[in-house]
Amino acid sequence: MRQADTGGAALPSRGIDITHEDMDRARDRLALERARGSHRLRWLRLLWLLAGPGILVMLGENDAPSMLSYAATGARFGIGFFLPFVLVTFLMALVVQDLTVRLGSVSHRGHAELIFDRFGPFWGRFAMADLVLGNFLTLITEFIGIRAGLGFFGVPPLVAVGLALAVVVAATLTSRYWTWERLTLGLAACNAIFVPVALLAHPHWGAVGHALATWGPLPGGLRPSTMMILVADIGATVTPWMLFFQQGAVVDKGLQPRDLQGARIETSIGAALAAVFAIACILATAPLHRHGIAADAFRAADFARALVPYVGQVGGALFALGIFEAGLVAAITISTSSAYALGEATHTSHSLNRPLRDAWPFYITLLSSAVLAAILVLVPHAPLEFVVLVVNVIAVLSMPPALILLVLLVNDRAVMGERTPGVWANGATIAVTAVLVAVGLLYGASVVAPTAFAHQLARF
Amino acid sequence: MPDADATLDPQADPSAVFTLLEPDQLVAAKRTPLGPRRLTPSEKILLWALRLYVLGLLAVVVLQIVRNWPGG
Repeated sequence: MRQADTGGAALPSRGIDITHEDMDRARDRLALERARGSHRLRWLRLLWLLAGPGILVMLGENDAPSMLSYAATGARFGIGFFLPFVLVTFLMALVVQDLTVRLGSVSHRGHAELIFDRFGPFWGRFAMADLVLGNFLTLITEFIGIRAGLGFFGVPPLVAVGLALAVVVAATLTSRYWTWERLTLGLAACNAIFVPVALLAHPHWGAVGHALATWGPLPGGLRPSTMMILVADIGATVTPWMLFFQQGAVVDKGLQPRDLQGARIETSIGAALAAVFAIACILATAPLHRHGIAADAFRAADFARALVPYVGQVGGALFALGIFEAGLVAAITISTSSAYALGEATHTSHSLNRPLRDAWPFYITLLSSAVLAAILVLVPHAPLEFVVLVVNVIAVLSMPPALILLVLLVNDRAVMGERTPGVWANGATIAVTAVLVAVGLLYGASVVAPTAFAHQLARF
Repeated sequence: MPDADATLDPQADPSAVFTLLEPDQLVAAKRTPLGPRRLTPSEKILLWALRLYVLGLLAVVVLQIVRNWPGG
């Protein structure tokens, strides 16, 4: 019998250390097993216990820049093409995230860990570079959203950012994955705030139905300037941090292959909720399009203020709160994604079930990335607006290599055994990758040669 | 894993951890890295092509930022 590395458990004589992390994870498993054995409300109990990674990743991706992208979409194009388009992007996210659930629950290892272990540090560093760059830029935009959202109510930037940091610290330092997950889920549920704003905007439901059925109209047609918003809306649903986060959370939660079906349902619920809230955001700002308000240079609080004449003071305030909430939840999930990935890549402790003293590099990574982004947002006149514009685009561009690594890993029999995915799951993910590559190339053409691009579009 | 006994409580009996968790879920098991796998030539070509794709399009993003820079 050897000494456990943490927490004074009396150890069984199997020559294996039992850590604090193992104990907490086993407690979570016990709750699941008890729910499986119960007769009353069995599925509801299981769903409650399994809820977490899937819902958090989907609602976490409805973050500040994403909601601002949807707001800009509604203001510029109104009710039309982008409603069904957003639904399809969430379907794409669901296809991809399903593979990470499978990979995490079978391998019990994080995404970065598997990339480094199986493909070596060369490809691992590339994957990490994409992730770290994308995550840090996204974190900056989350704090921009936090500052702007509370700024609507006259809260000074320092107080707004400090409050958000306090919530991140409080959720993280519980040293218990379950507690962190429930707290963050509670905050993420507030993403529903965009639904009442949409209702206050009195959308024309006939136009909504027409848009979903016909994929139209698209005012102005497909122009070079439309490409940016199209790519940004894809980047609002399909991004590398989601792969690393959900797989890390699935592992930390202790999910096993027998949980796959429930975890899939949970992820699907997350995707459905996120899609509804994203569409609600588009519907909320559609009155700006109807009234010809030019919203091209709008920032977060500008949307809330511009909406007041159409949705009332309460609607504007709810919209601003929604942007704050979106930034806050994503600040928690994205900084956690970075910390999981760095811990996995360096083979150091990386679990929210670990006490601070045992996994301080993990917690330092998590908190320092959030603190650094928060500080940058407070620097007067820092030229950060361009970050908001390009962060979702960068996410889309860096996604194809991440997806190919995901497909290689999930089909790796040394990792997955017999639990590799079927032809449909692989085919769908490869199709998503092909779509992202094509969209990226079209975006590139629209920037490098906008005139020729517009000319080619006109021929269609 | 066989169905765990719902009365097992790791707080009361730490050996319950071995019943509730799969062997490779234990922290101790995860300390051993998985061995590397060799990428096939076609996989390498694909990964390199996508890496160049990312770098090329990141350059496009920088170009767009420069074009849209205030006063630029």
